[in-house]
Amino acid sequence: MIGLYKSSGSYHAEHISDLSHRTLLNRFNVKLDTQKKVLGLQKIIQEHLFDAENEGYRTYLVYDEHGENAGIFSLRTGAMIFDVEPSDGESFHEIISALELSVFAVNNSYAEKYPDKKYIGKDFFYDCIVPILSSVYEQVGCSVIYLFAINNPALISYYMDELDFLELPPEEERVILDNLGSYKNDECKFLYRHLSTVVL
Amino acid sequence: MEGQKKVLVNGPLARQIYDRIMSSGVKKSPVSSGNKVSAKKPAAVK
Repeated sequence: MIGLYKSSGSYHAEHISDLSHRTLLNRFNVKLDTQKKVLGLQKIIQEHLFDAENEGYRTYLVYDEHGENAGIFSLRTGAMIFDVEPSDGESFHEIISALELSVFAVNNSYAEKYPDKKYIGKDFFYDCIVPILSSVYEQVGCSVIYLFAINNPALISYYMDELDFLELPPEEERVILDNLGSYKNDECKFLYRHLSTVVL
Repeated sequence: MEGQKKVLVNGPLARQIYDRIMSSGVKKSPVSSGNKVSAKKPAAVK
């Protein structure tokens, strides 16, 4: 059910901005018990995210109330461009303005240190990401947030059940994935959420 | 770094996918954040 989750309110995010953050990124530890693709995510976080600021990514480190690093996320602007072909008449484009949740990960060292904290990712999604989404939706008019998740059933369930992302029917998702290039096929899942559902 | 700045959707299902995603939103009255935006006053010229 789509609704606003009452988060713990204990997390805040800092945009990476100096070399001390690069050191934190280099030490960031993603949970590695699912697939080798997760190793790819860890490599991206450790080696590429800091420099990706120049490519339009905005990366934030998430801290708890004691200043411990609990997670990380990256956003950037995006768009969905639909080449619509009516049965009669010329084709035209519909465009959905969007944000991409490029990276979303809990720091595994933190999760292992605090096993009683069951909703770290969900809490910092609502504490740190939703305020950004809400602001963009209200002040700029952006419509959708989407992501390409690693195609792991537990992870997909987490995005859908805990963070209220939606999936497309398989034949529609296929259309999107087929346009992404070979590295995406069958390795990821497209999920989306309309930003009107995150307004505070 | 990998990522998709643009997601291209074509073919006969394009309209259907567009409608599905856009209709997943919550109908609201026109959004007003109540924010007031104004330009900074230029610095005085000496």
